[in-house]
Formats: sequence, structure tokens, C-alpha cells
Amino acid sequence: MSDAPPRQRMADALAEVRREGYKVAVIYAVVDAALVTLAVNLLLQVVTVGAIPETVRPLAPLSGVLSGTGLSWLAGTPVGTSTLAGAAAGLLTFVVEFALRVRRPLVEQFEAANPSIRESLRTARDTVEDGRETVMALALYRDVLDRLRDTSSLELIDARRLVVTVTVLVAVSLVSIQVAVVDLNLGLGGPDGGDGPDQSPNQRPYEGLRDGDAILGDAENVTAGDTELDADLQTQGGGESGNGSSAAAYDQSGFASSADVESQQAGFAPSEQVEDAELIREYNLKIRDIEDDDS
Amino acid sequence: MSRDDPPGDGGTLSGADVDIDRLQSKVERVREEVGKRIVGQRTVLDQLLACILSDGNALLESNPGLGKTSMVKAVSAVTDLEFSRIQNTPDLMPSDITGTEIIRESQQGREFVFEKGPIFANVVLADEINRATPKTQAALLEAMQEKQVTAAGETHALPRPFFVLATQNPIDQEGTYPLPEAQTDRFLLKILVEYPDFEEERRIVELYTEDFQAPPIEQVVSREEIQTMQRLVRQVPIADDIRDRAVKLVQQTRDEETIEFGASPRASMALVLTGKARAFMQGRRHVSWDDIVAMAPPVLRHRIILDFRAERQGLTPDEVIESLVR
Repeated sequence: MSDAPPRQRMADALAEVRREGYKVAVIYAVVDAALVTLAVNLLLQVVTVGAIPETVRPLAPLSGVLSGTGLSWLAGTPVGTSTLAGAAAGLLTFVVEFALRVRRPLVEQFEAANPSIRESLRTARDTVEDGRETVMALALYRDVLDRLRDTSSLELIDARRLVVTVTVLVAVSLVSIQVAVVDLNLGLGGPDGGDGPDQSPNQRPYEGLRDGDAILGDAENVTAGDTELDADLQTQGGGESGNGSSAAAYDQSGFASSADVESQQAGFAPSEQVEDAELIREYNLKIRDIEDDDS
Repeated sequence: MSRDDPPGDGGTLSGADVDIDRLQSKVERVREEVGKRIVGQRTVLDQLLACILSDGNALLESNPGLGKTSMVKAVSAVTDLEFSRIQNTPDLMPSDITGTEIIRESQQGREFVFEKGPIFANVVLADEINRATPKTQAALLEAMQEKQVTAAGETHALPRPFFVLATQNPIDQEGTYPLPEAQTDRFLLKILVEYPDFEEERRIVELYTEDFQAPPIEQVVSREEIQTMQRLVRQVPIADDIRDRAVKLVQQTRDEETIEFGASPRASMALVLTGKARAFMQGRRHVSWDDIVAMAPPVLRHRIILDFRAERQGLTPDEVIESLVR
């Protein structure tokens, strides 16, 4: 490089300046495109428009092409509409911003960022383009090359703007994650809150308490059985545990029975243990009397 | 001011032969030496030097007694250039300037010999040029343009480098023949010399009232070095946008309402060339827009004619030029 003639070295330096300009344009475009991608994705996840489906199969038209390859599964793979829209918006942002940033001559952008060599660098650029190699032109090239060592392409980047954009990007990405977990949806698309053919698991109907009569149906007369058994019920103290004591209590209370009914410990949670067995026995007797009268 | 031939002997420059920094430093030494005799007038001196490095001719205008002649003499003294002075009067003939053929007797008999006039010098000071008749003015201006003199059918080249530094008085217009605009356009610059301030005038009095002799001046730049610098000045690179802005500035003088007659393309060339000279004198390798702004008034003030309404309002050419530059 140092053996190259001054004009060639100047031309190489200008090419390097232009490359730095392209790098800066890419940095800005990538960061802004990422922000737009996440923002659009987040917006479409929070606000659902009824006319827009939840997922699409963008490669479905290519199923014929993909059928002969090992990638035919791609044709049927659904992709979230919000993701697809975000990606498209991000790509558009990247292309537009990059084009706008490189529209102004890159050497002039470098000059604006390094005003100490503004005029000399621009003069050197024009002189190189004219192909001049006069004594003064060569002296200019050497002078500019020396002064370029004291310049920096970092001046092309607006650090504050970049930090703000990255900060917003991180915030939007965190919000996107939170929205995905919480499944927040404003459902502005229709009366059913955005139900569609491709319903996600998050949109199943409510399965809480229902109307008991609707479940049980109409009351029916139940015919009495052929076998009548007398059951002997006994009271049982609260808080007892152990099969032995409860079985004994069961045998000693209730109606007399000609048949031995093998007692079994009823399984129930201690928190639901009946505290007043005598009261329950009395209610049971009353219920049986009412039923006998009705029959 | 269109010259196809390079100044001096037409030799080419080689990077190995030329020490640009040394030559640029010579300009500062010239300023120092001239400053031993001329107090202040730094801007005038710089414009004069720019004119010389641009291989052009200058018209100096000021009231009497402001050191125009002294400055020109001092500038020629710091170089080894030959100096001559022409005091223009109404009875001055063209042959008094260019030279004439005289009869000389020799052993072979009588023969016509061309006796060179005072114009055959490197630096010609034409004092009070507006006092000479138009015919004499034309002879001088033709020599300025062509760098040669034709007498008795023979053409005699003028020495190189060749500069005409003409002076004129803005007052005392009685008995004068103002230069027509077509001829003032041949001067690269019109330099105005202003009155010194108090400190400068005090130093002038101290300098010139304590001794009969003017302070000595050392020669610091040679004829060849001046010619080399002239070639380097023309090679000074200028950015495309600065050059375009300079041309647009001159074109604006043709569209400006306060200007009746604008400047010609000769002014565009002069503006760019003197901008290069100023950049060289300041030690730079490129022309800055500040150079163009600084040289715009001396380049344009004698090339534009203000509208009578502007003159009635008291506008001066310099004020109009400044408004165009801003």
C-alpha cells in the first residue's frame, strides 16, 4: 500500500471512506428495521382485525414446486400473520432507510462529520476523479492522507440516537414477550371477539360453573327397587381418623339391620370432615320420611 | 486575460525538483521584507502578490500619498526583477512607452536601431494611467495583453515575467481620461488603498522622518522562483462545487437588479486563478471558499457598472459584491 503512487493511495482512502459510510447506513437500517419488525408484530398481536387471519401459509402457492423436493412440508407450514407482517415491514424499512442514507454522497457525509478536513477531502476527491497528478495535486493527496489519520468514522454515528433506538427495541421486545405470555388481545375484529376458523387454544370457551338444571335435565320418577335393606347409621365424632374407631361407630349407630353391612371408611378430606353427624342423621331421616309420604 | 502559454520559460515541473513548502515560505519572507518599508496595508500587499503569482496586471487606486508607488517599488526590490516607472502625462506618446526606432551612426553607416521603451522591464509601474491619452493607454494595454510590442513592422517580445501595475487617482479628475470599461477589464485586480489608522500612520512618520534613506530590503525570491510559483499556482486543485459557485457568483452580477452591466467570463477565470494564488500564499494545497470570497471584491469591482438607482442610493460596487457573496 505504501509503495502505491499518491493518487492510488488517495483513491483507496476514498474507497475506504465510502465503505465506512455504507457500514454506518447498514447499522442504522438494521436497528430501525428490527424496531419496526417488533413494533408491527406487537401491534398485530394486541389488536386483532377480524378480516386478517391469525395464520397464513405463505408458501402454499409453491406446493407444486416443493412437492418434488424434501421441503414439501414447508408449503403447509402456517406462519403467524403478525410475524409475517412484521418481517415485511422490517424489510421495507431496511431498504428504504439504507437507500435514503446512501443517497447523499458518502464522502460528503464523512466531511460533515470531520469538518477539519472538509474542503481538502472534497478537493482531493474531485482531483482524483479528474485523474490529476500534477505537483500540487500530489502534494494535496499526501496532505489529506496525513490528516485522515486523525479523523474517525465514529463521528458518522449519532450515538445518542442509536442508544435510544436500541433501548426502545429492547423495551418493545420485552413487551412482546409479555404479551405472548399473558395472551392479551383486544379483539377488535367482530362480535365473537375475533373467533375465526383457526382458533388458538387461548380462545376456548369458558368452562366454569354452569346451569345445574341444564346439566341434570328434568326430574324423573325413579321406580323403587325390589330389595329393601335397612341401613344402620351411627353418628361419628369429628376429627377422628383411623379405620377401627370409625367402623365401630358405624356399627353402633343408625337403624337395626337384619343384614350385616360391612362398614367401610368413606374417603373424604379432613377439611371436609363432618362435625355434627347427629344433625346429618336427623336430616336424612326427614328426607326419607318425605319421600315415603310422596310415594 | 486568456493566455495559452505558461509563464516564464515554459519548463515543466517535477515533483522531485520542487519544494513547495520552501516556496510557500518565501511568500511570508516577502511580506516581512516589504513590511520594513510599507507599514500596514497587509491586504493590499497580499492582493498585489496574488496578482503577481497569477501573472496578471493590477490597477491600484487611492488618494495621493498612500504609498502606492512605494509599495510597488518595494515588491520589485525583494525580487531580482527589473523595475521601470512610467509617469503618464497628457503629452505622453505611445512610442514613449513602447520604444521607437532611432537612427544610429556606426562605422557601417547609418542604421535604424530599435530603442526599447520603459515597458521593457519585468515590473512596470504606470503612474496615473488615467492622465495618459486614450491612444497611449491603448498602446500600454495592448502590451499588457499581448506581452509584446510591434514597432516598425517588427515584433519585440516583452521580458518574462511581466507585470504592469498601474495607479490612478479617484480625485483630481480634471484633465484625465478615464479608462474605458473594456480596458479596465484587462486588469486582473483593482486594488483600493485606504488610509492607515493612527498607529500605522505614527509608525510611518517615525520610519520616514528619521533618515533620508529608506530601510534596506533584502532580495528573497528570484525570477525563476516566481515563475515556478506561477506554475504551481495554476496547478492548485479546486473542488468542483467551489469552482461552480465562483462561476455562479460572476453570473449573478449579470442578473442582479442593482447592476446594469455584469462581469464577463474573464472575471470567472480571474476569480478562480486569484483564489488559487491566495490558497498558495496561505500555505494550502487546495482552494477554500474563503479564498474566493476574499478575492471577489478586487476581481469584480472594476468589471461591474451599477444601475443609476443604486448609485443614487449611495451603493458602492463593493457593497453590492458583498451582498452577492453572502
